[in-house]
Amino acid sequence: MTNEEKIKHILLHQYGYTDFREGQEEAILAALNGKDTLVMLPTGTGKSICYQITGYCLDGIVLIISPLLSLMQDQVDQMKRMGEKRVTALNSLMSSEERKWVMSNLTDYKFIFLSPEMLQQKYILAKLKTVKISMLAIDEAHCISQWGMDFRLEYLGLGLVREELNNPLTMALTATATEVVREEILASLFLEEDKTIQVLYSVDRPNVALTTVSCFHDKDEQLLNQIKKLAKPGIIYFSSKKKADQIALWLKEETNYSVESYHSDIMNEDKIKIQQQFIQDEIDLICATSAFGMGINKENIRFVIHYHMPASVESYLQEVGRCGRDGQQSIAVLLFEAGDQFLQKRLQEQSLPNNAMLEYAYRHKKIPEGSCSETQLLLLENYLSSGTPIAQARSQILSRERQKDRQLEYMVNYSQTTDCKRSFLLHYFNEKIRKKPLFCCSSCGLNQEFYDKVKEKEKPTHSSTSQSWKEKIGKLFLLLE
Amino acid sequence: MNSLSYLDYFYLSLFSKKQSKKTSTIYHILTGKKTASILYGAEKYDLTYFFALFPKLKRSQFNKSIDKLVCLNYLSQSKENKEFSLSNSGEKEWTLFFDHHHYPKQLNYLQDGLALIHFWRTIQLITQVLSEVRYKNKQYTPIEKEWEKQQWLKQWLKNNNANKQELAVAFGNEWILIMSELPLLYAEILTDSLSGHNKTGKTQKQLAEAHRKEAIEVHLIILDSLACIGKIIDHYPEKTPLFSSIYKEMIQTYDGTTKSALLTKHYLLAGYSLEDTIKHRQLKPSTINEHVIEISIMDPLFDLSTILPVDKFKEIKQLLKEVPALTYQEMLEKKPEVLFLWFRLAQIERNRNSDE
Repeated sequence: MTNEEKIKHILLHQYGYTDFREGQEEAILAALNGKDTLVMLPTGTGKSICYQITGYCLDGIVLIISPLLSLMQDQVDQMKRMGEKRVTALNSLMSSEERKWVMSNLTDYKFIFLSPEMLQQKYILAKLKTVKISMLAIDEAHCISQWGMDFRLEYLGLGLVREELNNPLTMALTATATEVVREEILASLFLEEDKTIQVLYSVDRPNVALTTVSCFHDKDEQLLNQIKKLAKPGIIYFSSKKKADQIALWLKEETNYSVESYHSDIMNEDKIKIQQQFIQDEIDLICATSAFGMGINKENIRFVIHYHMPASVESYLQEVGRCGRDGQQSIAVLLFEAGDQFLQKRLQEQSLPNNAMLEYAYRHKKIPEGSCSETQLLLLENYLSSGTPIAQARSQILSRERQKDRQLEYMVNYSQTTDCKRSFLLHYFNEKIRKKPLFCCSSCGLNQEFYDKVKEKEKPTHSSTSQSWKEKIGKLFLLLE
Repeated sequence: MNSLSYLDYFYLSLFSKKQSKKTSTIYHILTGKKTASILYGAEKYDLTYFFALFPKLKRSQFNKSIDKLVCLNYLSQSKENKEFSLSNSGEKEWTLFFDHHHYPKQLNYLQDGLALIHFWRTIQLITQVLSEVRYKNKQYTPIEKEWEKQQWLKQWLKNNNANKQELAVAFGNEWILIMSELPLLYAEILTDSLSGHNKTGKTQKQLAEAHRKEAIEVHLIILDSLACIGKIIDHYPEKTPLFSSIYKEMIQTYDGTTKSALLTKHYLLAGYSLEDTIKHRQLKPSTINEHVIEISIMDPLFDLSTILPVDKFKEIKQLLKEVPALTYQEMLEKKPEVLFLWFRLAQIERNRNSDE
């Protein structure tokens, strides 16, 4: 069987698809030919299949470096649901018993997800050196780059880790990386540009129409207008948990839709339930912070509305990319009101340590804990443990601040531009529209035909059964009366 | 001023007209600060039932509620200290409120709160897995992410009936029996919380909306229902063998005593004196004393006679009986040889006996 036949067979039998999506087959075949790859495919188009199918064709363990703990858990769950039991995650959330178990049974696993900080631990690296690694996949590889949206210091050491693991076959994956970021990914991983196959596809999602709505103290009403006319289900993103709760409550009162809020304060048990209900179409609208959506594999989300402006084009595209994964016409709406950027600016200030914190940390060799946010703390810890000179740390932070300001400014300009919104977003990635979609953006004009396509055809109904508890238990366990 | 919430009334119910109480102690009791002094406070205030009931409660939130209650004159502050007592109107208000709302009466959270939570997580997971077994479906996401719980389940399934279909039916039937013994509202809320084949359980907020209650009231109904289940399966162990064995295991595993105090307990039970325990454990005497106080509160049946001079203990108890408000300093004036540990243990016993 040729590699082409082999991977098609796996695609059909393990995933139930007959055809690959754009870029997937190319990436897998390149890897199977022994080439390191940098794969850039738009959000929601199945990047994980690239390293999974490659892994199935090779002997040994696939290590997947993933930056977000919640995403890692979701990815493990999804693979298990697909029937792959040889999958686990090594991260700081797991108990010592579980970690011990995994470490002493490494060869039982085919796919191991790791957080970058886990890979920095000597005993884990030493143990990994004793097993056969077929491939190193770096998910969300843009985190490597200082110019990316989620720069993580721990990602910087991945090149050395890769060397220590004897340079296994490597696949770096991202959905949103500018040219500078891509160059930095290659350099950080010590991948030679001329020997690495770059599978690059546009970040554009032609089936998602892009619109912005200018608000003048009427954002809630504008939101309601949008919601009423659009087909469900949809996600509304907020930068504030409190606002997400408030609007969810208000929408429940104002409409008959099933609405839930989702953010980090929700109990874990309830978070899982809300995700499941959303996947099963029991919820029409989710009012969420960015905590929602990463690992949600739901194809029929019809719209993503941003109540608050996100911090960068990269985050915006990540979040917008959660709608229309089934290829059907969908829409992204950004509600913008003058001054919205200041909320993001405040959040940004809390994410980087200020000068006083930096000086305190370096002088006392410890973190000023009470006054630091989690991200400030993490960054300071990293600087101290890596022995970065204070001047270098200061200049890095300053350049991060400027970078964040530029990213935010780009979003403000996006919300206000009267030029084509799609071209404006693509320009950020040095891309041009290859083929203008029929329904492009609010600047290009979206006609009645478009709104007919995305409008709510019929109100979602949620069957509320009036069964007794006994009938419900009976149904759960198929008990005979 | 905003109207009072369920929690405001609940906090109000924790105060008493007869005994003034410190709000900081009540806060630490609710969040479960396991120090000897807070544990003693819980005994003294008769609030062990609610120890660690709200581990994530923020101090500012709690203080805000108390301020509201003081403003309304439902609580009054004593002039000489910073303690608060329930006023007549306060008592009337909370009694009236709980005539129409659920008040948790089954809980004994200090002893079995932790076990109850684990029991609930475990039976929810078993319910989901066995429901999927009945429908022969393997493609689903477990509602429980914790590895230890999943490993436990695998072992439990292995240890029980080899025929999973029969096991699932038996488990379902036990649910029916248990639910029939519960008040209707409890049964409805528990059932709607459960997930299984093609059914995702409702969140507490969703249940609250459906029953026109606050989410916290639903939370307490669930906890109270679980405590009730504990009693039901104690009553019908032979009819609920699966639930019964899980419940027992959870009670044994999640004892609630801190690890270090538990180790001290093992030494004492093995016949070591306090002095020997201090030596072996290489801990300060004050730490071991704190452990003994914790053990005595957590396990009322623990035999103190092995570590205390019995005669002296009787004398202290007698003095406390005669002068209930006697302080340790006053005790020392009468009996200089009395250690603080003996005094505190005698107070604990006194409080306990006065409850009975």
